[in-house]
Amino acid sequence: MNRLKKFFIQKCLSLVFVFFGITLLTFGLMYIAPSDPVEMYYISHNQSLPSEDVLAAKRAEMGLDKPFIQQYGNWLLKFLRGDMGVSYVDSIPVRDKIVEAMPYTLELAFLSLFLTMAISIPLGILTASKHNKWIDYIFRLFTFIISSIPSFVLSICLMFIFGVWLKKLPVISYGNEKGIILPALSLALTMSSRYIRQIRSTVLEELNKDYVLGARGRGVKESVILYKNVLKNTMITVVTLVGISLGSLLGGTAIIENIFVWPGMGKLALDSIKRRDYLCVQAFVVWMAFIFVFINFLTDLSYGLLDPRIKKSGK
Amino acid sequence: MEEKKRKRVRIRFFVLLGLIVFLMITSLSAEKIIPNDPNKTMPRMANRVPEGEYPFGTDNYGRCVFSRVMMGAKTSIFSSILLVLITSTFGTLIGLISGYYGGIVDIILMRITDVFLAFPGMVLAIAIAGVLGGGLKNAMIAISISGWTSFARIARSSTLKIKEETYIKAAILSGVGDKGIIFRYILPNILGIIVVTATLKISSMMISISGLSFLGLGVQLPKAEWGSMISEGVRYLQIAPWITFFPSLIMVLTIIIFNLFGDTVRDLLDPKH
Repeated sequence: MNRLKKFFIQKCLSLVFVFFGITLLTFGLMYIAPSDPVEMYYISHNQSLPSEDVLAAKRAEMGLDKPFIQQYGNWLLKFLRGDMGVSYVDSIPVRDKIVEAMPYTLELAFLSLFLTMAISIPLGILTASKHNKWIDYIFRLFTFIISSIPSFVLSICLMFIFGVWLKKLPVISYGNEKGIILPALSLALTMSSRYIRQIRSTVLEELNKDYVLGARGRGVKESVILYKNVLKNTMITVVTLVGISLGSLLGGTAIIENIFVWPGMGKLALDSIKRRDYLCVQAFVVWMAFIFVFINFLTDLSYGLLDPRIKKSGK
Repeated sequence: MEEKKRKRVRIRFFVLLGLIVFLMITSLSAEKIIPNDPNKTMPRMANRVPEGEYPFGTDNYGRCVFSRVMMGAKTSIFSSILLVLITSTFGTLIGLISGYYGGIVDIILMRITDVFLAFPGMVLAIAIAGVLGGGLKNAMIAISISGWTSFARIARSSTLKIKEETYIKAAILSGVGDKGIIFRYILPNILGIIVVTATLKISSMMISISGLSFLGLGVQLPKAEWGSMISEGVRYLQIAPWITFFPSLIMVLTIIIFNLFGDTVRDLLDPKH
C-alpha cells in the first residue's frame, strides 16, 4: 500500500511538471507567432492602423512590452483562475468559447471510444477463437486496410456511402440529432482496426495459458472460459489501448470535426487559426493537452486496480 | 522451415522495395509522363467524367485529376521520407545522450520529452502550422516538432539495455571516449530498431502531411497535393466524386505499400517480434 502511495505521489509530481511544460511551450509558441496582437486588433475591427506611439501604448496596456517570463507568469496566473483572455478579434472571452465547444468534443470522443469497444472487443475475441479460419483472415485483411486509410479519407468514404449514396445520414453534423453518428463512426473504425488486432493477439496468448488448459480439462465450457476468464484478463490490454490511442483520438477529432462541421474544439481551433485569433488557439492546445494528460493519468492508476500483480509490487 | 520463412520475408522485402523505388522514380519523373498541365484551368472542361485523355476525370476548374495526383505523389512521398529522416535523427540523438549519460541529463531530457508527448496527436502540429502560416515547409516544421519523441523513447530504452553489456564496460575501461562509445558501439546496435520504427513511421508522416494540407495548413493551392486535392473535391462529392476518389485511392495504396514494407523490414531485422 505504501508503494502504491509513492507511485501515486510520483505520478502527481510529474503531472505538475508536465502541466508547466505544456503551458510554457504553448505560450512560447504564441509568443513567437509572426503576427502582432495589437495590429490584429485594429485590423479585425476594421480600423486603420494608428501611429506607432499609439500602438506602443496599447501594447504596454496589454502587457506585451514586458519580458517573456513576466508575460508568461501573468498569463499563467490568469489561466489558473479560469481567465483565458478576451479574443482580439471578436472581443468574446476565450473561456466562453472553450466552455461552449468542449462538451461537443468530449461527447464525440467518448461516443467514439464506446463504439470502438463495442466493435473491437467482440470481434477481437471472435477472430481469436476462430484463429486461422477464413473469418479470421477476412477480418485481418479488413483491419489492415482500414488501418491504412487516413481518418479524413475514411470519413469522406462514410459521408459518400451514407450521405450521398444511401441518403440515410446527415453530412453536416451541426444541429442534427443523428449528426454525431458519422463522425463518431469514422473515428471508431480507425481505432477499431488497431484494437481488434491487439485484442486478438492478447486473447490468443491467454488461450495458451495453463489456467485455460486446466479449465478445459475440468470440462468447463469454451464459451465460459472465453467470456468469464479470458475477457477479464483482456481488459488490461484494453485499458492500455485506450491510453495509447487517446492521443490519436483527440487529435483525430480536430480533423473530423472540421469535415462534418461539428462545433467542438477542433472546429473552434481551425476557425480561430483562419482568423488569427491566437489566444483561442492557445487555449485549445492547452486544454487538449490537459484532457489527454489527465485521462492518461487515470489509465495509469487503473492498472493498479485491474491487475493485482501491479498492486502488490507498486510498479 | 525457419530458413524457408526467412527466404519468403526476403523475397517480400525486395518486391516491396522494388515497388517503392518504382513509385519514387515515377513521382520524380511525373512532369514528363503526365498527359496534361496539372495547373491549367479550363472552365469549359470542368467536372468531366474519367475517360480518354483524362483517365481520372477533371476537377471543378477543369484541371486533369490524373496529372495532379501524379504531381502530388512527389510531395507526399519525399516529404514523408525527409520527415522521418529528420525526426529519427534528432530523436535518436536525444535518446542516446539521455540513456548513456543517465542521471540529471536523463531526467531533464526525458521530462522535456514528456512535455512534447503530452500533446495529443495532431493537436500541436495543427497549432504550430496554423501559427506559422501555411506552406509545406511550415507543415514539416510543425510535424517534426511533434514527431521526434517516439524515437527518443525507443533509442533511450535500447541504450539503457546495451549500456549494461560487457563489451561497453570493456570499452569504457580501455579509455574510449564518450563520443566513441555512443557512436561506434551503441548506435550500431540500436540502429536496427530505429530503422524498423522509421520505416513504420513513413506512412503516418504521409497521413500527417496530407492531414494538414487537407485542413488548409499544409501545401498551398494551386500546388497539387493529395490532402488538399481531397479537401477541394469534397465540395463536389455529389456531382463529381472522382475528384475525391482518385487521390484518396492512390494515397491509400501508397500507404498500404509503405505499411507492408515497414512490417517486412521489421520481420527481417527483428524476427523475435
